[in-house]
Amino acid sequence: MLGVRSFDQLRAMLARAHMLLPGLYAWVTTVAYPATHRSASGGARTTAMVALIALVVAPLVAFDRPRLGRALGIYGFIGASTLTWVLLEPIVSVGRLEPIRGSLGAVGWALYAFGWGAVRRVDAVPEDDPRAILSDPLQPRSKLPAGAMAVFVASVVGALVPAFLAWRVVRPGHALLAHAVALACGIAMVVTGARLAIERGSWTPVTPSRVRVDSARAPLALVLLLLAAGTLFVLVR
Amino acid sequence: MMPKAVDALSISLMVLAAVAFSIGVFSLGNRQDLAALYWLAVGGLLLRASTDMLRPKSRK
Repeated sequence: MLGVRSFDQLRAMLARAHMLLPGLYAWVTTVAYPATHRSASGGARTTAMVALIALVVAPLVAFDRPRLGRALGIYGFIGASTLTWVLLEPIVSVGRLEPIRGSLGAVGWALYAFGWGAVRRVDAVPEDDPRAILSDPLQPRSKLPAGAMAVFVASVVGALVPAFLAWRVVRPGHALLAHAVALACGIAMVVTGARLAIERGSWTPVTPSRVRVDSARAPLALVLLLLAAGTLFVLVR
Repeated sequence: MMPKAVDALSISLMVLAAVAFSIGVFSLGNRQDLAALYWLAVGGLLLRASTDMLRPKSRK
């Protein structure tokens, strides 16, 4: 019995660590580092400490009082961190950001988001929940086309490459533009990739191939025009 | 067979769009603003072509 209890305690501790550690990494790389700069104001240091306290306390209360835990761990931590950045404005301005540290910080915040997400336990059966409404298993209405995952992964990779390349831009104004452009490109890539992955095959058998190619006539013609103009420009120059 | 070829073409256009976007942002890092605009426009058009080819617009 003690073993089961210890196992539950260990599981709870791991879950708390899963919530805390990514956030701690994000806090150290993006909040604590600029807040310890010698020209940082007292207010910024205070809000940075408030963010840390919210981050550490949240996993401790999250299991008994989930709403309070979420309020502290998500809203409290992000709010205090944002306030810290606002108060540190000259120190964390775009022109003074270091690409490597910025990239690591972005990874840290992504991990933090995953840390607060919840997935079903490996050995959990949803139907065992007393609130579950039991009925016949629902059958999927359709199947994904072959290679859907590969297409989607390709679109995600295509979305990530510009996001990483944007860190190469060193001119302050252009750097911000590059990140905005990379974000827009990434969203467009993922949306298009998801559509291509899922909707392939939904044309059968009604739409002839010629009609499909013909419907992309305008953008394809513009692409060809641009490529021809670009080639001409390179040749003339 | 032909519809599968069009599918492959639309996926190829999406991949080319990703390459064009990457070249565009890369050019921005090399201080080549005109080239960046050019490749971003090419990427946008390629992406648009790939989705148009996926689901043609209905004609009245």
